[in-house]
Amino acid sequence: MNKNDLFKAIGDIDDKFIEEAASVKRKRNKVKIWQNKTLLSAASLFLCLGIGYYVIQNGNMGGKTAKESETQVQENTAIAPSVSDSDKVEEYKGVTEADKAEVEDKSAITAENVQEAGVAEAPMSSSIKNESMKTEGVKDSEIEKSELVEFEETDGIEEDDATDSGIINSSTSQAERVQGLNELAASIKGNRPVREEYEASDDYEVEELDRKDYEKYINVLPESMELSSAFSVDGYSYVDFSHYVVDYEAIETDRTLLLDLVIYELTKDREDFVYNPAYPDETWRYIYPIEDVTAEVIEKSVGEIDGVTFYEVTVLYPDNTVVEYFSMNLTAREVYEVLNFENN
Amino acid sequence: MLEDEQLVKLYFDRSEDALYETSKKYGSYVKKIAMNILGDYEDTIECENDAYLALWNAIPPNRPQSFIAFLGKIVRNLALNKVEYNAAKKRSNKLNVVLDELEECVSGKESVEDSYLEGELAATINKFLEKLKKDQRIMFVKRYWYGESVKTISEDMGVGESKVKTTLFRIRNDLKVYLEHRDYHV
Repeated sequence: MNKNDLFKAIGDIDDKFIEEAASVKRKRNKVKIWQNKTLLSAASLFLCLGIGYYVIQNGNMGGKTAKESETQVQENTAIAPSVSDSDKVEEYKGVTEADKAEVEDKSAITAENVQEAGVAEAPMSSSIKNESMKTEGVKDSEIEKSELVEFEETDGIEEDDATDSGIINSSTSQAERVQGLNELAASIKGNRPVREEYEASDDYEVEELDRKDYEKYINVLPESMELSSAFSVDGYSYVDFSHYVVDYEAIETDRTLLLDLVIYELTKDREDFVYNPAYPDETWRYIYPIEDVTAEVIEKSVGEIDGVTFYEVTVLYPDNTVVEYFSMNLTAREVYEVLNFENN
Repeated sequence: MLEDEQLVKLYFDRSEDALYETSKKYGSYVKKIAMNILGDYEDTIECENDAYLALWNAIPPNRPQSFIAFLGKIVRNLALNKVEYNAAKKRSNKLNVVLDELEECVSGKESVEDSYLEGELAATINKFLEKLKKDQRIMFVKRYWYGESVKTISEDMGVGESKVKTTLFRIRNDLKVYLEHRDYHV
């Protein structure tokens, strides 16, 4: 068989797979742009309402000329940043002590309060604008940026992780690298949302699982690793947990480290994924019982992609749980030590 | 736009609107497949026109269950024929990159058994695809059926290019082992 035979054979795959692949398009990002534009419109409307309300509250309806109103708006805007200065407020508005206290309260309004208070905070209009724009993330420049990089955001890993990867970069010795990895892994413990690509696409029916649903799988992981996302896709009973210590984008640039764990329970419909010496002709995926995993086994699972060495080993645990370990830029020994097979 | 069933009916009625409506609904789909394989605009347009003609000749008697897949297969085959024609004239194409990747899954050696199993190869690949996770399967089909670039796949699926490359690499390795265990000389 040659590559052309294989390519032609792939051409005859089932229609449902062809339809399935054709149905996946860039939906997520359209939503994102739409959201940004909506937020911008909402912020603009909010600002207009705020200014309008301010003008009404400060006497435009009471017969002041437009010029007078404009002057007052300017004065108010100018005084807003120092609105906590009660003397100025009192002098300007001639308010009572109660009114003064109220104004002081308003000066402490946060972005959240502004949202809750609606348009009642007109004197703060300029700062409202700034705060609400910040809060909603709808600055023009941000929108432009989000549209420019609309397809760039992917793995849902926070920037801190990429920064943390410097722990690995700066390390030189093997021991330090392993320690760095463990620190990095420990730093990202805790709950994280479902990975963005699954969460955002309309083409996946994702059900986020409760922690109790997957807790039993965590027992097979090294202590330094804790799974953070759990979901089922399209209602398929297959449970896939994966976790990336460093996101793929970071790999593109600094070629540091990737550790990917995929865990699932070995169920009947997946039995022929398993390589088992007892059934060599029936199975195809090499899955090693945990007691057989040695550094040599990992060494044999070496591969290379885009010049980066990786190791991939799939392990079967006594409770029928399968874990696929996939690492990049680590030596076989490092993988073995990091995954701490001896203590599992 | 017409539903696929209505399109098929137009072909059965031998209405020339069938071609116009097909072009309206699936023109970009057809061009994309052809362009992914041929990488040349003129060849793509030629392939598109040939595809509509082939579709006109194929329906009836065929009544495709999936119109989009049926059309896609016609375009893909026509594009591959064009590639072979161009290869004879030493013209390069984008398909070579995709084929080079698939070469990792096969040995290139021919055997009698392979010829015997050739007819079953697609069915074997179908079984293999059934076992993949949905996102892996979509990546594989997009790359090796539609011939889409890694960048396009990463954009469509909202993942990084490296993720796509790595996933495809792993699927190719899995496919190689899968075929080996089913007596294909890979």
